[in-house]
Amino acid sequence: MSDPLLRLRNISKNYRETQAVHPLDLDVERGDFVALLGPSGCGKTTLLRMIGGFLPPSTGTIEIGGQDVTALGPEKRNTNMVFQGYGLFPHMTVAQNIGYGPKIAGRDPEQIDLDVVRMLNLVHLGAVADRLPAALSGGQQQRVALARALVMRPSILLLDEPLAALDLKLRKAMQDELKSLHRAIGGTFIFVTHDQGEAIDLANRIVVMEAGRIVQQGTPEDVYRRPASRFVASFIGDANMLSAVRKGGEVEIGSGRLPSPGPDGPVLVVIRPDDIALAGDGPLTLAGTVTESRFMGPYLRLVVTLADGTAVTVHRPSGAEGAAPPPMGSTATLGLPAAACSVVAP
Amino acid sequence: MSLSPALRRGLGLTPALTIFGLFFALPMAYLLVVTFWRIKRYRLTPDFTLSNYADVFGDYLHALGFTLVIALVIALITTALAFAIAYLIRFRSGLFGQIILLSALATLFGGYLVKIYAWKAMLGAQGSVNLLLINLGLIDEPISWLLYSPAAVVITLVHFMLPFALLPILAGLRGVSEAPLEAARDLGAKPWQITRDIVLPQCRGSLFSAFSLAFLIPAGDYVTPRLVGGPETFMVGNFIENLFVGRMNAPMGAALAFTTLLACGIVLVTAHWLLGRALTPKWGR
Amino acid sequence: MAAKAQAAWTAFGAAVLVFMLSPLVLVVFFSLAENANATFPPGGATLHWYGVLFDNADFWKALGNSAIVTLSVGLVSMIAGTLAAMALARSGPKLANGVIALITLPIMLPPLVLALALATGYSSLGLPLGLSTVIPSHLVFTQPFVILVVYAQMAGFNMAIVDSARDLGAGSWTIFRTVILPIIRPTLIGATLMAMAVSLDDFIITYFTIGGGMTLPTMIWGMLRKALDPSINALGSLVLVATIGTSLIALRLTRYRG
Ligand SMILES: Nc1ncnc2c1ncn2[C@@H]1O[C@H](COP(=O)(O)OP(=O)(O)O)[C@@H](O)[C@H]1O
Ligand SMILES: [Mg+2]
Repeated sequence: MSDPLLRLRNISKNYRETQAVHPLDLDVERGDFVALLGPSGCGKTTLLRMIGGFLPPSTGTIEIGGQDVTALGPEKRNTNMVFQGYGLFPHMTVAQNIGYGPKIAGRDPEQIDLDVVRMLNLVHLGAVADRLPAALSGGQQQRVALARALVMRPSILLLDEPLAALDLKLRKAMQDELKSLHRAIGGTFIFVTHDQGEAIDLANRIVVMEAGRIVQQGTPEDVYRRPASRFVASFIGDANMLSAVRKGGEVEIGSGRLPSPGPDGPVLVVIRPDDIALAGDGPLTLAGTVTESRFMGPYLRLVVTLADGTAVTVHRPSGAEGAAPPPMGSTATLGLPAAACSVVAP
Repeated sequence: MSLSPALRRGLGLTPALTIFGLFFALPMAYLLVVTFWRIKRYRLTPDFTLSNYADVFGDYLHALGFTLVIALVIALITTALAFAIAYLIRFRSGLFGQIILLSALATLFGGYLVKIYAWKAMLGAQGSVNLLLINLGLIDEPISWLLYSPAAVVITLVHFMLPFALLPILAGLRGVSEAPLEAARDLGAKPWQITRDIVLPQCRGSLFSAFSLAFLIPAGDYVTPRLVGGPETFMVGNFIENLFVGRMNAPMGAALAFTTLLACGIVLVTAHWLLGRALTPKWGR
Repeated sequence: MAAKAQAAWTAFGAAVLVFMLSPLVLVVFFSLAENANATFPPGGATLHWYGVLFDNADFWKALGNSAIVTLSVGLVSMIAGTLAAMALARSGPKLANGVIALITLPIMLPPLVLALALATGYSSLGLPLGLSTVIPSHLVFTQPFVILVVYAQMAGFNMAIVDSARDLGAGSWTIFRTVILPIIRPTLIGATLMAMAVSLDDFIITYFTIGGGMTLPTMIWGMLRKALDPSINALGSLVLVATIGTSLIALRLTRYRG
């Protein structure tokens, strides 16, 4: 019923030889937390910068809140950006950085002070308000960049690899902070990342890109459980890809058949290692020999080699059930739940 | 033979510091001492008198003021022009940017005298500037005050100082990274606001270096006013030179020279303070 | 709007270029023109003024003196400047910046003051003025260029290279000769050429410290003060070509881009 907040139609971008983004459509709803996910160089930044108004698209239109903003620069759009590497003003204090946007907008000085203090509290930076960016840690700089953008009350907050420059531990902490910020202010966030774990953790919608195209979009669970292509399957999480053949709308795999509409021919059956049961007795089973067994902390990693030489990875919880891992060289029958299998083009 | 690192450093610096000490520090110190001496029977005679400074304040204050004003005008024009050119080179990357940079670098070290007399030829009544203006129909007869006037001194010295001012400012602009500029734009700033709030404050140091050089060198120049300034445009340099060479009064010439340096120092300190004030953010506490 | 702004910048760039280069271009232009007054119309093309210049015995004397001064100043600046830059590169940035600020003072001050200080000093010591007083006077404002340029390169020098050479058993001198010098040689030559260009072009300091002799710039000064001598354009062109040519080679060698 309600129109999407952001509507891209036929948007593309080419730099002389490179087609960085092929014509694509994308809708983003109010309140969404969207991840643009893909490997380096797939056009995520280019797409984000077109949304922010930094790059004019080669074709297509961009609407925000029903208004066509395609021709408007970033200064005229109600979006704000957290830049890769933050782009803090090196000669301004934290408070001055945050106050710059409101000052340019002509808010009155008292209001600016209030806004700045509110933001400082929101991102827990009150103690360093008068420091220059150079005297801040990476996580603090990140929060200044966030506050500087959020103080403008953007209808869409754009973040380009916001956590890439932080070390692992800080990254986890900032992920939680971003999530709670999103909850607290109820805004619309679009962020770029090449880290699938981060995308799954933060976003409620993931847009997967490959070579300038959107190849799948959906909830984190959708993209993880039902990858639309071999690329998506291998890019997000571990996946087993079993070669099979489709004939008459069915794919023959192991002991059984999977219903799968589509043309006849070779296909791949994708199944996550944690979806495979060890003692299989369902309709779909695969028999093989255990060739590797490793303790990985929270789970056991087993490799079962099938008769045709295909290696299948299986993850089993290591703690509960107390089930001893099957010994190396023993035979194993793997059970594949049909619901966990996706069939994609090879 | 292994020398301690500190000693090796010391040895490495010795030749350069010796040259500096013998041919700069010592003569300058001597010249400062001479300002307190006097001339007796055409000879320099040690003494301790402030009368040279008193005479300078009595006779040359007017010339000093005039010189500082001219040098200030030159420095302001040169710095502003150099900033605009550096901005063009750094942000507009047009066809001319690189050619201008190369020309500035190539002519940096060359042709002080040649540049001055070239302007003398160009600014004259028969010169190419007047000829061009007449041919463009902008004027009917040659502008006579182009040459032998303060304007000629300003034009010539702006031309001479421009490459020297351009290079530090360009280096400063190159140190300004892209992301903060985009961030400012994202926050709604217009190009002139970005220049004022983000670009200029970040190259404050290099702006000041450029301004200092473009102020100090013209303030002490005497060749340019002599060649293109005409009989009315006497700058302090001319008086200093005249005191030393024409009137053989080294103490008074030296006193005038040091007074000029001191006055220049005061102007520069003030300029530094003003620049700092103008470019410091005034919001956010 | 944006196109208009771009056009305005282009026009500005063109105007700046004309302002910067036209005086120099005109000097060279009139050195090759028949009109003795160096005004328009220029008349036909001629090498006559160069002939006049080359027939002038003073020119050859001035050229010889300029060559002696420039080469000596270049050599000594290179040695003193490089030694200093290497020493500074090995010391902390505080000391280095302090020394550099001090040692570049001579190029920040109006040359007239330094010239008069030197002249007064020499005359008090009773030293006879001549090339032997000009050369050290030049050094004081040419060595800063070598120090600045070489220090800039040494400051960015990957010291791991030196450490690995030492690790392989090379002594300091061997390290300098086989590792450091080959890497900084272009910079070194470029910096020396800059010093030479500055020396070759200097008028004010030379004028006050040379006594009776003559270098190319003081010869130009002499011609300017006498009645109109059209061969001044030829002489000016030669000085321009020499200094600009030297500068261009120096820029290429040091890869200096402003
Ligand atoms: N200014 C540019 N000029 C030419 N090619 C570019 C430019 N910016 C990006 N590209 C190319 O466009 C493609 C997408 O780049 P980008 O959007 O930065 O990818 P990502 O952010 O996904 O890593 C890359 O192949 C990149 O090389
Ligand atoms: Mg990117």
